[in-house]
Amino acid sequence: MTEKRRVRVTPVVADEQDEAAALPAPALAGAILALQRTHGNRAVGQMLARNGPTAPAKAPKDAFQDAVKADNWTEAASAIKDLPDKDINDLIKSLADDQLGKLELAAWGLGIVPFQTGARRLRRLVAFKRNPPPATTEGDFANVTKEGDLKHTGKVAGGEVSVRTGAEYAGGSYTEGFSIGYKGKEAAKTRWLQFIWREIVVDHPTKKTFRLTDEIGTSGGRYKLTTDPKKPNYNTDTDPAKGSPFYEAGGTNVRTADATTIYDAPGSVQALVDPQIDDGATTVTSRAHFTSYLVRDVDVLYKVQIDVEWVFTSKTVPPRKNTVQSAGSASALDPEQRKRLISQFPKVTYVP
Amino acid sequence: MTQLAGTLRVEGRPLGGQDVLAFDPAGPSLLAVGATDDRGEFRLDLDGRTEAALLAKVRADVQAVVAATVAVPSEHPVELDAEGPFFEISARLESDVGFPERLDVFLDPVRVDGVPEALLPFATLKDEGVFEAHYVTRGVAEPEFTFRVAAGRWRIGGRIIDFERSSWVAPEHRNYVVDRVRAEDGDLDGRWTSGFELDVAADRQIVLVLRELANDEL
Repeated sequence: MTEKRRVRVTPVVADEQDEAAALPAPALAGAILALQRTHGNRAVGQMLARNGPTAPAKAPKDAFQDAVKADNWTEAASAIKDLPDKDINDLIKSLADDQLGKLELAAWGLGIVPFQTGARRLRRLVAFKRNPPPATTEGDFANVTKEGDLKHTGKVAGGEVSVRTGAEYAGGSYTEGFSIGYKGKEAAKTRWLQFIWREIVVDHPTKKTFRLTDEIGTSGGRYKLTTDPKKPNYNTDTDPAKGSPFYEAGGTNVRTADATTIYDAPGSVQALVDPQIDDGATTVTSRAHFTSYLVRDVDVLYKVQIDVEWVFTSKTVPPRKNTVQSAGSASALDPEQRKRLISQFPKVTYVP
Repeated sequence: MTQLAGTLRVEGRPLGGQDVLAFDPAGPSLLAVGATDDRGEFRLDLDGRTEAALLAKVRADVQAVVAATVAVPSEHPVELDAEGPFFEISARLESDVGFPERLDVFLDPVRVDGVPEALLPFATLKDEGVFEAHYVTRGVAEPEFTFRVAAGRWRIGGRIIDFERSSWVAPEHRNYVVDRVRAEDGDLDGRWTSGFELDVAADRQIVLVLRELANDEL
């Protein structure tokens, strides 16, 4: 009979679970078996500490090359995990995709151990190398007729963020929109990643106050109305047909050599509001909540939260109210938003 | 704890996976929510009540609503049976602007034989403080489909809408709604948002006429 051992396994955090889901199952199983089942995370961490960074005398670049030749990807990842991004990118640029896959897996394995932030960053850099977003395209894809009122400005690495409401674009077809822009020298590799959740609250003489539940959207982007605001049902706000989560891939935007600005004027979801008015509701409040992140390669830099609200008392669409709820520096996505991102775009595991 | 037990059947067969709600008969405030198991059986916690108005949602091969007012506690398990008659609504899509790959067709009860008028609006109640937008929503991919429903009056409509379409520069998909519904005896009353009212006392044949939804109607 095999002796049973009690192995204490440190819980894997949400983003690591999501990333694990994106890795090939057989390889993942092997990594987990090798790194966790036999000795547990703590022992693995000690082993990595002995075998990794303390390898004597060899420069990281040489240690990496030797490990690649030996097909030892844990050694390879360990050798370069703490190097600057540029050095890592130089070293991995000539690797084939299957080699990158092994390196990513090894980095993921190292990264599940506490304090291995370098390994986690290496994994994101490799994931980005394997699945880069579409190249940015300069152009005016919004046809803005009115820039709107400036509501927020903030400094960010390499430039400045601005938020406006009351924007008009599409030649004036869309009014009361909002815009979020970055201006600076890093525009070419900087993008906006936006999430949306919606809620509809109804006041009715006999049904009292209630929230509506329904699934909305098209294939690839269907999501439910939120009935508990503490647990929003997020959706990545992008045109699913474009295959990229970033708003600029399909959304109205203006991109120049030194700026990228996105525009949005969401609809009020009248298709769900009108039946409630027909049913005798006195007030129907439709809200769209947006969280927009400024992302540069594998880094999240800034976060802007905007709410849009319509308060219906008849079928006539009332003026919307755009409110900038918050705006400031950020370094990671909200975990639930990241979970949704990876469920919709499994290869985009490089955004922290 | 006072529990009310019962079984939901359709034409005598037990039906699982269906919601059963209990209301205060004096005014439809929600008392309890339950669901039927594989044997069609349900249990509701009704502490301190002497009477309850039950509403069972039947959303399976047939679409119906069953209601009954019962004493609490009940001497015997409650029997809720959707006995029919049921009738078939045969629907066909018609369009001059193309067809979507999928259309979400919805059905809402306006009047169902045997269900009190005051209770029926609560058929879309999902849980305390949450209502479903429609009683039944079914994604259809074929131009012809059928519903089998209880006798009464139903509201039918359909749509496939990307509510964010106005945000996309060159969307490859269109938004569609059912703009008109034609029955054997002419167009039905209604609008695309809430649907079109159809009296069902026999099998019916209808045509759902699609149109493209403009971005400014989102």
